Amino acid sequence: MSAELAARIAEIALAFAVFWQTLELLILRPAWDREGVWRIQDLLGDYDRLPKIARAELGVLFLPSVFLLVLWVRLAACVAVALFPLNAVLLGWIFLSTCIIAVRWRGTFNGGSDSITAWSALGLFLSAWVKAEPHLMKFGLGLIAVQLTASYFLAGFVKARNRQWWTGEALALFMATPGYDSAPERVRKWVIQPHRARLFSVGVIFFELAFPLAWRSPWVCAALLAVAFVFHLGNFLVFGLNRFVWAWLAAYPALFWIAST
Amino acid sequence: MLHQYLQFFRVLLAGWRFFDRVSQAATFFVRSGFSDADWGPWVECLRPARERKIGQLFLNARQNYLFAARSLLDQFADELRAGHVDSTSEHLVKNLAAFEVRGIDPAARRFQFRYCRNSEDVYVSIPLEMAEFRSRGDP
Repeated sequence: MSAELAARIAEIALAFAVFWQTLELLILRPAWDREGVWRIQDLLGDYDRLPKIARAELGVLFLPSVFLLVLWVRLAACVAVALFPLNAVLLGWIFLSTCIIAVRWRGTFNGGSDSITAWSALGLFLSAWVKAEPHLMKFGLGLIAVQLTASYFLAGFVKARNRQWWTGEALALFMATPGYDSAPERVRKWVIQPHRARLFSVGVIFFELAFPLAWRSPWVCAALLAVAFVFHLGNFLVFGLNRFVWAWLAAYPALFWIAST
Repeated sequence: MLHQYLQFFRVLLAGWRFFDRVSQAATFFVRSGFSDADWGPWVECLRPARERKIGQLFLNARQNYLFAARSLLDQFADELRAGHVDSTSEHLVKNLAAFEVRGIDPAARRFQFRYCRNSEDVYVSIPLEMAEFRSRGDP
């Protein structure tokens, strides 16, 4: 697989993920509009100490009508990615708009999924920018592959340091934590059986810690990416984390290309 | 000042620490009424629907709103614990309560909210006027 093909597959997957993310934000308009939770009047307090001009520009950018335009242009950019391969302007806009959304939600709207989306968009933007120089494209794809690997390995590392994860207790506790307690009752009952919760938890720790092995060969990489995809589907079933499925999927081609070369 | 600038890059400063801290069960309640004498019952908010549909794999707006609201409450709780509540967090949490009350009782004129951990009150707001949370136009 060439770097260009890997980047093309990755950008289509990224556009697919960002399309749904953006649609969700459009559906959630009442929550960020004039009578919503994240209304601009109250967010401006965060920028009190910024230079006056920066504060004024953010104030305009986050006006409901302007922010709505940002979202619609972002949605259009996702569709346009299918028609214009490796276009730096489109990918740059997807990266920039991801950052704008994150800042509007005081850091991130949806935690890790926003971060991996931003890293994928940044890596692909850099790749598209230097696509005439194939060896420089490696840098953009490499950036994504490093972040993808770090996302699993570090997550596994912090779990491995917590005894409750080794016993399976943490999984059951998270499933009972308000906000994460959205699993259907029969799924919850099935997962929190002590022996099963322990098996899943230990399995996740080993999988996440083993993830850097994906760099060794395309076969190991393909196997680990397949497990990772199933892992994210499980997270959707158990915790409702739908954005993580597509956001992480968009980063897989970059790592697979690295492992293949 | 540094904190304000860091906010612009937080999305790129991911620590990739998922599910590392088992937090205590936090619950958010609101109640609404017309005057001091006729408060309705406390209602727990931000409850997810215990169901999964294949379509939610693509569009799960309600669940992601709940995650964002929980994240806001966690930040508010951290600030309460540190003894310094940021005014923006406080405003946003009040907005959250008003937004939830509007969904439960559109005719409410006053409301109050409670934030609890392990069934103990961490924060109980004073009664607030719904009118203060109506749109005042763009700043």
